[in-house]
Amino acid sequence: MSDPKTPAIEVISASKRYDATIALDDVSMSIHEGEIHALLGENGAGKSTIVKILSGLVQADSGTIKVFGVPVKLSTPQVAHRLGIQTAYQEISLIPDLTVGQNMLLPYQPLNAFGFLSNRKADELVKEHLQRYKLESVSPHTEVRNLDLATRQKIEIARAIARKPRILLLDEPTSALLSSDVKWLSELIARLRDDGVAIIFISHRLAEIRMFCEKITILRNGKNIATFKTDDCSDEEIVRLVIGRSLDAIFPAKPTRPPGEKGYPAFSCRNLQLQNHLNGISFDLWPGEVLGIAGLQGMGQVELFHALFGDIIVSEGTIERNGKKITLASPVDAIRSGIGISMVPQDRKTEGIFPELSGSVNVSLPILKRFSHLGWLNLKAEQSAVDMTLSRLNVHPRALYKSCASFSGGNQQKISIAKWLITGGQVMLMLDPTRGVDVGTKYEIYSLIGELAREGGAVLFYSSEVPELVGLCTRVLVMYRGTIVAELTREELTEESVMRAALGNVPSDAVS
Amino acid sequence: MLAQKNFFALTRLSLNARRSSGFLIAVVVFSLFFIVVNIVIPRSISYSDISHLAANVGPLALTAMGETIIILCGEFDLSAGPVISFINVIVAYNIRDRADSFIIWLIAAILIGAAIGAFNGFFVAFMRIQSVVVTLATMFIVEGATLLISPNPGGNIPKSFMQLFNGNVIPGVLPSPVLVLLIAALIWTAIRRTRFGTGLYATGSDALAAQANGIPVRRIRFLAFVLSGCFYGAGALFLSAQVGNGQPLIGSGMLLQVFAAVILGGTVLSGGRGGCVGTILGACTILMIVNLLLIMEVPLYYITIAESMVLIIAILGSSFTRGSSIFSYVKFASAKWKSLWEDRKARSALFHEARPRLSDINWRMRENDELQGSWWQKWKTRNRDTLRLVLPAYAFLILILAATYIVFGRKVVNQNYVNSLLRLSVFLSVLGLGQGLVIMTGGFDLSIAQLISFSGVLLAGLSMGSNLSAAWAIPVVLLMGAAVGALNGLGIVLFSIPPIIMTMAMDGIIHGVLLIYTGGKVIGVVPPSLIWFVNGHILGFSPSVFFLMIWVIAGIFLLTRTQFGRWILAIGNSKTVARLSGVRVGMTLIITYALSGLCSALTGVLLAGFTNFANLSMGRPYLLPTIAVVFVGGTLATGGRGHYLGIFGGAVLLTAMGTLISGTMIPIAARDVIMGLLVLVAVLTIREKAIP
Repeated sequence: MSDPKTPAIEVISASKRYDATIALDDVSMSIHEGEIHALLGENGAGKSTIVKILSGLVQADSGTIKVFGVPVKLSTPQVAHRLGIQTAYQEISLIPDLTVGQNMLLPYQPLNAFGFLSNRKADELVKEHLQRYKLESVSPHTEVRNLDLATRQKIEIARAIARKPRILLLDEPTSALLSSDVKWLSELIARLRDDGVAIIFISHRLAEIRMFCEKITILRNGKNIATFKTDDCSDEEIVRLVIGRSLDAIFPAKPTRPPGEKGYPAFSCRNLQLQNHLNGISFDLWPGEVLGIAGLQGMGQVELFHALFGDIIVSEGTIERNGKKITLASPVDAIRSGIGISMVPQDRKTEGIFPELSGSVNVSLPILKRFSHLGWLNLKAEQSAVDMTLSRLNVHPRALYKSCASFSGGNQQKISIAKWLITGGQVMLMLDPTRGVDVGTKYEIYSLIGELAREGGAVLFYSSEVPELVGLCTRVLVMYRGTIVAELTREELTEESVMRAALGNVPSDAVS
Repeated sequence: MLAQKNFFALTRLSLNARRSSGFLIAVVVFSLFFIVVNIVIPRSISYSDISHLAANVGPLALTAMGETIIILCGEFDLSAGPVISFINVIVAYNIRDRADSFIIWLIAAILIGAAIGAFNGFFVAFMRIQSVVVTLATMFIVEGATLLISPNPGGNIPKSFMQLFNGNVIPGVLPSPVLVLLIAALIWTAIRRTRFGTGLYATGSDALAAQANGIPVRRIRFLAFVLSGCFYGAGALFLSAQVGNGQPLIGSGMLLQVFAAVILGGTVLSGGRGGCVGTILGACTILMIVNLLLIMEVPLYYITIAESMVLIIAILGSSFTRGSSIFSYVKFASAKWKSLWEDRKARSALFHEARPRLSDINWRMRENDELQGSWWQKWKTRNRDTLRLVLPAYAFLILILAATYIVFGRKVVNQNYVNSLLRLSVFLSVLGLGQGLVIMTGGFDLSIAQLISFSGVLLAGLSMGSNLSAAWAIPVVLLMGAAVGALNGLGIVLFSIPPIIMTMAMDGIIHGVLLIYTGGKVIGVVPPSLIWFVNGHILGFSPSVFFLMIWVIAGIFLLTRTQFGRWILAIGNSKTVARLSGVRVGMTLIITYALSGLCSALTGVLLAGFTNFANLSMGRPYLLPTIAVVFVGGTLATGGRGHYLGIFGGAVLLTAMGTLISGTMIPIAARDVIMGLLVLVAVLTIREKAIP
């Protein structure tokens, strides 16, 4: 046993940048054996970067990492494994085409005397693992591709633990788990703590952090803002540290006028059905309204947004725009100026922008037709219109010719939004638009959403950050397994009520 | 207790069955054809039939096993065929009729295969270049090298060595070709039961997740190429034992059969699912199909068509079982129909497309503090990215021109030289636009070679040397080219067939059609007006040179000044982002492939005019150059970035290089080697530039 004073893992002024984005800026932290340490911060604050560095997936540009007092170079995941560092990733790292058993043992499958894989030993080992981690209901011979998200996440966690770590990283381990599974996790973690494992626990849910963790480190814009004992700080204080100012100061005033007294809703849908994802979704979205959608990961929110944008064709249900029935066969139909539905997608890098193309090519793409006559693009008109939109979002005019990759995450997100501002559409669907952007840009996006609503636009807004929903929306619909289980307005709209509904309307004591 | 144990064994069996459904289908298809063959031939299948089938299938099966390993880990290998020829030729020239020579060359052949695999694997795994690009370059390097060693069939394989593969181990019981295949299957089964084997599947299934798991993904990719090279070596030995000498082009036509065997064997093209034992069955199935056609006295010309169709049908069959894109397109079509029919009342108001009134546009743009100095400096700042892509081709062109001047002196480098250089560049410039557009969308068009030949031959056949007939024959040929290209696009869009597979199969089909159309002979006469167009003179230049100027301007215009050009670049960067930005992805892809077909047809027509006649293989030398031109011209190998000005520069550059080489003592085959290396160098350097 090593000296109990030596931290199990210590990060000393680590920094990391991707292109123009600073992901980590001089961050230091240390975790001792048997300590459960929460890492807290908004999306893009640098939590995942720390996880990737400690797992050996990326290397820090500068800084030192010590494992039990010894400086180490975590160049590959294999090296990290050898040092006893294991990770349960947020974007689950199971191989879809391999079985549960194969995944559990990867890449350290037991071998027989001749150096080949031993099926017998493997079967025994997997059975033992599944029993120890109370996953007997999962067949070891099922392919992972056939499992639901919650089971996959449990296997991801069980596998990391089965490799007998001395340091365990749990990156949002509860993001797809239901409340009963959270209990399962808490028992596992308690056992590990007693065995002296150092655990880094990343979560958005304060209740869980209070339940599991002794210490908290808060990251903001890639910097370590504070480290303290969990009991030393109130919830309000933690929230203030996470977002950098108090909640009231950051959100624009909500519209006071209750929507929907007169005329048609800007947008409404009835009984939307999509196999395995949506089950009878109906709601109205009124002009001037910011309507929130809440829910745990994978409850159908993403599919709902894509269906409303024509990207997924629903098997049943109707959509009306200003009281007229419309059928959306593809995003092309949604974008038409007479319909004017826009969508800011969830994942900026793979859905929102083309990093290698210039900002103006990105922004004008949905409405190129408006600038072309007989096939000839009027570049001057295009550039002027793009410039006007970019100036509204405070993006430097070099975005007209520079590739998006050379801009920071916040500016990239602004370009992703500019693409839809320029269309002048009146219905804006936004999937987690503040994901991975700095606090300043967040504030600008909040103001923009408020502005759009005041100008008579209708905003449908999904966020994985519950405080955002509470702070911005006049009304929030909570989704659970493809249906809307709660509609929360005014006084009912609190973080607790949203979370409770999102976890499937369980009694309040299971959450808090 | 026992019942429970049996139950578990059963569920495990059924789960395994579901997992290996591809393999089961391979078994079923194989058995089906086996029965059919049994019925068709009047006598029952004998020992010698089995021996014969195994001997015939051996080279294909071993090669396809190598390809399977690469596909399992999520890559492609286009170099398999030429590697087989290369090893075949080397063995045939060096092996002697002695036992020690046999052993040495058995090992050497496998080692040569491994070495070429290591070359491919190095660029794919450690330099991170797409495997399609690397192996395409290797394909031409190896083929060029083979032709340098032996331009014609030669060498000799000793009879006793041939017996080693084709004889009997135990006469009447075990033919040696069966034993060879059994050993290969055993070796594969052993490999599969190692950590490397699991790593292979994991890498092909989800490389990022595999890496996060601590699987050495790069090493596994590299080893997969080395291992497949060993299988190619074995395949080449088997083939040598059958043909008895060295044939420099014997492997070139094999690729179609190889891919068909892999897919019929139940391996999924996207990687991670399948296996090599199924591939052996797949290879047998193909050979039985070919044999069936021969028994039914189908003319030989139809065989490549049949093989191509088998390849396409096999892919369709395997893609139909999962949520294939055809279903989403069916849904799209029905929704489209609904929106057009049911919403027709709302349409006029809703679907009206607003155009900004010119008075609404704020023409005055913001001050940009980054743009300083003269208009020239501002222009440079704004276009820096484009210039970096386009200029290298022209820099190299100047070097080549200087070299030409040094070698030939003033008497050659004059206006005449410029005219002939541009005149010769027409073909690559035209092809470069089509291939360039396709590559910019992230695909490849491998059907170029046969489409060029077919277009040239068709034109000569239709017009029969009459200028009047040419007036309608040329448009017909061009339309035919566009239609063939559109078919490529339809297969790629509607059925998600990988572009290289779709266009490769199309190449085989056109080849068959060409043979059927001509009966294997050169027919038709090229109209004189066409000959004049390419070779005549106006104001000291050929008419085609003026055409080239218009073509280049149109090409630049298409890519930079139209919605279509923007859409192509958008799709090449990301189909998802493009779709979510309102780009009609499917339609754009189909049009792009149709344009590429049109360019090939046009080249066929011009080439017929250039050479005064059309022959069956006139398109063959053009496949790699078109791809080289596109990459040298600064197009990103993964698509999404490129400029036609650069591609045009690349076309002139390669033509100048060809002229320079043909004027020296360097053999023509060396051109393939140089061009293959050039592709690798170009892709390597652009890759560096793409990272800001």
